[in-house]
Amino acid sequence: MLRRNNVPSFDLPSGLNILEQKKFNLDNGIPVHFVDGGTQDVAKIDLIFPAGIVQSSKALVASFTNNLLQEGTVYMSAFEVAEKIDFYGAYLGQSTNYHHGQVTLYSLSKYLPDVLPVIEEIIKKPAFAQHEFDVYLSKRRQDFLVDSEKVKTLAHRKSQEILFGTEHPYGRIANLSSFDQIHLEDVKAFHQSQYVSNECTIVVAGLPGEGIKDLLNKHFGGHDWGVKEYNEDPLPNPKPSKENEHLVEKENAMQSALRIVRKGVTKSHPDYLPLMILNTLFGGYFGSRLMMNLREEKGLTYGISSYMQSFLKEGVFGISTEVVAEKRPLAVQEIFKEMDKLRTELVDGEELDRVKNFMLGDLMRNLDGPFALSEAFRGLLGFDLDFSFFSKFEEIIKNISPQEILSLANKYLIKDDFYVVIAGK
Amino acid sequence: MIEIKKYKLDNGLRLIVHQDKTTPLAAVNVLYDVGAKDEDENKTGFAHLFEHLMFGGSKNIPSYDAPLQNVGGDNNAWTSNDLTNYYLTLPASNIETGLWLESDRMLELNFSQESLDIQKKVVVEEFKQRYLNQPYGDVPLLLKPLAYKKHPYKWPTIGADVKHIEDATLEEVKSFFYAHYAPNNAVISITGNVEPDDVFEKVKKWFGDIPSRDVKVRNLPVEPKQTEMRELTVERDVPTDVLQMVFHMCSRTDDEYYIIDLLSDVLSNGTSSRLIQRLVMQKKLFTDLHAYISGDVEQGLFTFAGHVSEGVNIKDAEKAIWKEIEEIKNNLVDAYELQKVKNKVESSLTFSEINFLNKAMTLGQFELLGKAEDINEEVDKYRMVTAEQIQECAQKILIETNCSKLYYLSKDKKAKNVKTK
Repeated sequence: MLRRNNVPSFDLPSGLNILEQKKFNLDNGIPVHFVDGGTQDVAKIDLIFPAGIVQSSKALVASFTNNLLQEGTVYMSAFEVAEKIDFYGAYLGQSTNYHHGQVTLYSLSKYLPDVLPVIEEIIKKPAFAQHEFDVYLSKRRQDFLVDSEKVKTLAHRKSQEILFGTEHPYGRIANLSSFDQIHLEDVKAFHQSQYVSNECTIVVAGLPGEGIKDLLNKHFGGHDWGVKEYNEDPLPNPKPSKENEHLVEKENAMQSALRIVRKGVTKSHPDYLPLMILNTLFGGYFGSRLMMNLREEKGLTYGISSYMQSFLKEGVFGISTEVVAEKRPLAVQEIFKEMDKLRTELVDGEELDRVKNFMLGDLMRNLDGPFALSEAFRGLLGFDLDFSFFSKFEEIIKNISPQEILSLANKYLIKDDFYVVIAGK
Repeated sequence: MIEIKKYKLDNGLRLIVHQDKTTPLAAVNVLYDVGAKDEDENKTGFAHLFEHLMFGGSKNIPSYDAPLQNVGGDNNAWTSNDLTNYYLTLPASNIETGLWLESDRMLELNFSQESLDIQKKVVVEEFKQRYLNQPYGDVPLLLKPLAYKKHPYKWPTIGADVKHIEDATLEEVKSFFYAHYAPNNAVISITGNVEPDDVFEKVKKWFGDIPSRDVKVRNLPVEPKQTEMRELTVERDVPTDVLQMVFHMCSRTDDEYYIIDLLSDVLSNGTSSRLIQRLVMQKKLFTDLHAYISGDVEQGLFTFAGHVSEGVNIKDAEKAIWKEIEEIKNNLVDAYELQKVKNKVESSLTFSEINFLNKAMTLGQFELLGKAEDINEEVDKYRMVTAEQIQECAQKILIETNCSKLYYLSKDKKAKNVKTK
């Protein structure tokens, strides 16, 4: 007879399945990190440069430069570049964050010899033509206006600003006038100084085929592109706001976005990994304290989460949700109440075990397959960390005690350390 | 090529298994053949609300999430106009926990008024967050009833009105369950580091004694053929004008689907596509413009959607789209361009087969629509499409009397422009 009310026996999730990693250097010294494996003959290649917000002196310059790379080269029009990439069924992903600018190629491995020459050209010899710049500018400006209608975006922008101050690159938020202040010359200069071979890192993942090293050498391993003396200025000190509550008004908002944030820690900090566990318990998964209270018990919101962000030099710990304006005070009160509980009551073993097991499973998911692993590697770049970060994480998850959670909560979940940011009403 | 094994239980439950030894994980996907199209016109949003209730505990298990989290698992679900899909991933050695949980909620839900009341509130907040409090969020609420007059695709999955969700009763919830949630109305697909025959034994163990049920026979109203262009204009507090134009097209299972998909790709898949190059890059009429198809099980929609550039009249922008439509109706797509969109399809199908969870979802849908094996025929079906077929389809579908268009205008576009100076 089937006993449906008994939990079937199970194993604790353990043993990370980390694929083989290879490291080599191109002839000009560019380090290549290669995650070898997968089921399909496809490859993902990231070319990463110190071309983020931090390295640029004006808002928008880093992301404009990165995105305009593909809009034509000295030898090919923007259309020819796009058509080549489309013809071979490849995808270009471009992204910028605070410290890096990145070009990512997804391609069937068999077409790499056809597509990589295009990537070489857009990185070394982009055209940066006025027409493409103008088209892109007006698109970005419209996107900015649309985003500015979203309460969630407004709350995010404000929270970065108050944590770091507008003089700090982490707190320097673009505004409408930024779109009048950026010029094609800024983009050209930024490309020239930042997209250089001696500061480039390459990450390859998947099954790119035998000849990948030769191919990369052929296109990126030469001494023909942008070697320069490279010094990065240290970041200024953050100047956080003195006010604890901030309201970004939006008249017609049906819900308000709420962000409750404080300074956090970076991945290099010894508290980072243990704090990830407290964060998960508090608001980092579907069964978290915040979800259970505000969504599943009170129906105040569609979703609420707490999160940790680690930029290279600073971290953020925050809570994010969207609620109707009338319920906002209640939501704020309940969020702080949940913090109090974590600071005063030991988490019971059953709940902590559930969090641990969920996180161990999640760690397996986050490191599963070549693409996920390359993303994980990407997240460590610049921190002087390697994959032992994840085995250490596994150990910490397995061994953390309720007492440690309590003392972490007493260190990081103090009401007065938080800023409350509201966008909407 | 995705290798699969198929099984069927006596109660009608279908099982698809695909082994992928490169992952230590497994995915369990349970697809029910019920969606928003099966709702009563006066009680829309029900299938999606019901999806939320499926996490409120079942007959023998008070909480769905906690036992799954205990074994390292994670889960979610989605509802469309056609389907309701539940999925979970976990370490492969713990697959039995997933089957235990999924089978108990297929057996019987723990219907409680309290759970219903809470989830109604949550869904109302979701309605606001995703549809009412986002710029352009209400476009589907406006466009669907414009394009469909009789067919249930006229309301979106979230529901036509918040009130329908607020009014849902526990009795309705119960009868919905027994009318649609049944082994004979579901497909399970399991992928990852599993042995197919072993999986079959375990599925038999947990699902074998769930009785098959009298599933409500689907009898959807037929959408009358559209005979004239439809038009709707609204003004909203948004920064820019948006133009959407939709045309009726065939269903996902029709052979013509592949032709129309490539037609939309020629127009707008990738930066080198016609609409992006000509109307965004060259003429600067739109800052963003896409043509795409819905992939609905019933007869779906071919959509053009674009953000009109500042200072451009929306009617002029529209004319330019019609000009592109005329172009593709009058001239054959050349061989290079056709090969390009076919290559792109092949590549995106290959990439979609990397992730084991993705494979589980896709296999379930193919089985429900026809047979799971068809997944391996997709590339060939696209390869066979000819330029002549694309032209014929454009001539048949992209015509004024088959078009519904929405002018979504910025209330204070002018005022905003002045302010920024």
